[in-house]
Amino acid sequence: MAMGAEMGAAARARGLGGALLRRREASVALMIVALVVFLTFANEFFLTPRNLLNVGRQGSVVAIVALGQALVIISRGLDLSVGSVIGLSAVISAWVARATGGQELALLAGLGTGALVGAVNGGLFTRLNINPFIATLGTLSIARGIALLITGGIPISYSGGVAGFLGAERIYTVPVSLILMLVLAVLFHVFASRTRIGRNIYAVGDNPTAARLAGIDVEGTRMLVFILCGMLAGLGGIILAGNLASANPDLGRGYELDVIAAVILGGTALSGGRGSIHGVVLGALLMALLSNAFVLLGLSAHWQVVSKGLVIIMAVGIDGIRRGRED
Amino acid sequence: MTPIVETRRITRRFGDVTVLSGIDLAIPRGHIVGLLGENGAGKSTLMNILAGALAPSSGQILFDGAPVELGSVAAGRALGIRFVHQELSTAASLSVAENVFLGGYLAERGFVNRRRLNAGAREVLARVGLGHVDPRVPLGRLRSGEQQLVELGKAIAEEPRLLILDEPTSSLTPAESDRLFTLAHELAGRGVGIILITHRLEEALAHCDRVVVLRDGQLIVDRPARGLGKADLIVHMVGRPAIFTHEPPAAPPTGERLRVAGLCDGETLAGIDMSARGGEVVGLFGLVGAGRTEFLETLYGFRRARGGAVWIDGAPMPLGKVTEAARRGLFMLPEGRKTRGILPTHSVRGNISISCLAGITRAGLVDRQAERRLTDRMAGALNIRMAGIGQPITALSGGNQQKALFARALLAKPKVLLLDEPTHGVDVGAKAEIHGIIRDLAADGTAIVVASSELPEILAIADRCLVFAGGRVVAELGRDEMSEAAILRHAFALRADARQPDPPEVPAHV
Repeated sequence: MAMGAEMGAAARARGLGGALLRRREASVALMIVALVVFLTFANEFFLTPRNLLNVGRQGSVVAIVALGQALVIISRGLDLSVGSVIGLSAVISAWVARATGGQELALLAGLGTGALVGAVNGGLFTRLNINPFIATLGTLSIARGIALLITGGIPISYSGGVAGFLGAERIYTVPVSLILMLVLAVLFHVFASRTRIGRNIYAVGDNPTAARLAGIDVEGTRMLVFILCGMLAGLGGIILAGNLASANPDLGRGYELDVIAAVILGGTALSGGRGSIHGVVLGALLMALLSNAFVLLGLSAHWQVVSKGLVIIMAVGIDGIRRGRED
Repeated sequence: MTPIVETRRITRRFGDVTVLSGIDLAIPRGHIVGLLGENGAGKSTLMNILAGALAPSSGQILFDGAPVELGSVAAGRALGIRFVHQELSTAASLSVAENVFLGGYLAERGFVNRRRLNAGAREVLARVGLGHVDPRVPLGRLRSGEQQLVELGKAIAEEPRLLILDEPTSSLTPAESDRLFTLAHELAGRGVGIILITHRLEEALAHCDRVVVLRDGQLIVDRPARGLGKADLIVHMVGRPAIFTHEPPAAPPTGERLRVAGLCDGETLAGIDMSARGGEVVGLFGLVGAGRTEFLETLYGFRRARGGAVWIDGAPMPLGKVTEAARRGLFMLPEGRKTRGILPTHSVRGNISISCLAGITRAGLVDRQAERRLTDRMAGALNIRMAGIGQPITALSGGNQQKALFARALLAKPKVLLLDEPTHGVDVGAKAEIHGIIRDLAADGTAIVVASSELPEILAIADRCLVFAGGRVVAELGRDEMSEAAILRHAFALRADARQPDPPEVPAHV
């Protein structure tokens, strides 16, 4: 990204090593390297194409949703509803597929559902001035409730078609969802760093008042990031449902934690204005590697839940200590 | 008799800047001392030192004749020094009574007795003329003047020995002001020392035993109020040579670029009419609270307008939306560089280019080469001193940050540029450079409206001056009528008039 490149240039004067350590993405990259080295020695199955591609597939949904969440957080917002949107979009998409048989229509319905919830989130924030934490906590519950109401709590089968292709197919052994994630990451990277609107997102998160006075449409920018985030959560829901060949109304429960963790691990500041798409992808990769480690080492899944929390606190803590020293 | 408090050669420096030098001041028991001076004269710094919020760089404070080191506001309070600030520091959703006794609540062994609390508050409220106020209602329901009086009540409830009041009457009705001064005299009669910071000269002359004038960090006058006149005080306050000289515009102004008719906001502004032509620098002067900032922000759409119309180059402009104003050629550099100007985690380049990205977008993408070229050129033209344009903006000095914001404004290519305190907190060298930038911009045909509380600045750059008071334009002075004395006379003279009608009794939170 433009700013990243410039700051990198300025930092080069202080030594490349120092610059690397100073980048927030560096801590997550180091953790990934450490974990990869450890797992390579701990389990002979880890460093096989099959396992690694599996890690990639499992991480891709978190990464895709995290792309949207990253833009929201960079603009100084927060979207807690993404897990519920995954479930609601999956259910609605499956329901449309079953009712009409139109696969493309089902895809659009899923994305549209996500965009709609995103627009509601954005509207609650920008028009009614409800803190996004609270607004999306509300829609988290509402969206989940609607998914349960529609299905009566019973999963809808959802196999084949676009969802099946995105969620379960492979191209030359590479999962489609992983390819889709990488393509989207490149697109979002260009969008965030190279377009006017992308740059406005950073400005709005950095100092909303200054951004408004500089002529930026602050409300419009906030609406857009929430809609994009909702849409990507909708896409995540379709992929997950396609993978399981079933749209469970409980799908995506708790995903908001993984998604927000990936964004924060990737070096995005909750105070807005700072963050990068490649950092977020790294963050999602670390989360996926951690899950993989617990499976390979045969550790309790309950400990995995604890470890997720520890990793977030550690990553942000290290950064806080480092920044505290600089001040 | 020993004075309550006495300062000996108090000096305070911030970095290389000396804001107070060698101040000797004594506040005897039962005296009301008026403290006057322009913005930036050092009044607040001196009072913060007396209250314990700031430490002096050198010098001594004597309390009851004994040297003290305050070190904190709490230490000052323990000695009986209370500073009532102009800005409210009250908790709006707590009740009036809770605010009066904030922190202690007249509690017994940790438990608050509501009846006792409210009764205590009623007593205090009666003393400050708020006997009609129910101490149980949330403070936020009160008018801002009433809230100010609650703040005063809070201070006198602690029976202070030295009371510092900063612009206490700025949001009070005349009746409330009278009540406040009655109370002040009553407290003085009981031996309390009072320091009154005010911009209202007539108040100082009418109610103070002594008047102290600060100018550029020095004590200029310390005399009994009796026998002093308003004219003397103005001369003392501004009596410094103009540092900057005015250069006449390069070319006669062109056609009208900005017209404002009857702009009001339902709060401060009472129908502002003005216009500005291309190549012209229009200065806005006014005392604190006169409405200059409100005017610029309402014009730019940052605050909501309640009436009026604006034309840019003859075309009407919708009010209330900054994006619209910016699209039609208006641009504003606000007061408060840190809070409203810079994007603190962005680079210098990112800060400069943020308002011109639309113009350099090709096929959906920002042309980074064009961005680099434009920002480099601007940084060079405005002489922004920095290690590199990729540096974080916060690494620059205030003056260079401000120049970067000017670069942002210039790249937005405005037809009309609004500037609010463009050289606030900027050193003298950068100030002169910024004045040069403003003149060059005007020479290119931009209409410039600049609000400043520094008279020498207005005199240096403005081709015409509008004087604000009480939310209206009270005088318009052409270049040859502009002088410090003339401008100040208008700014002060209409004070009494502007206060005639009582402010409407609306709750403060509306």
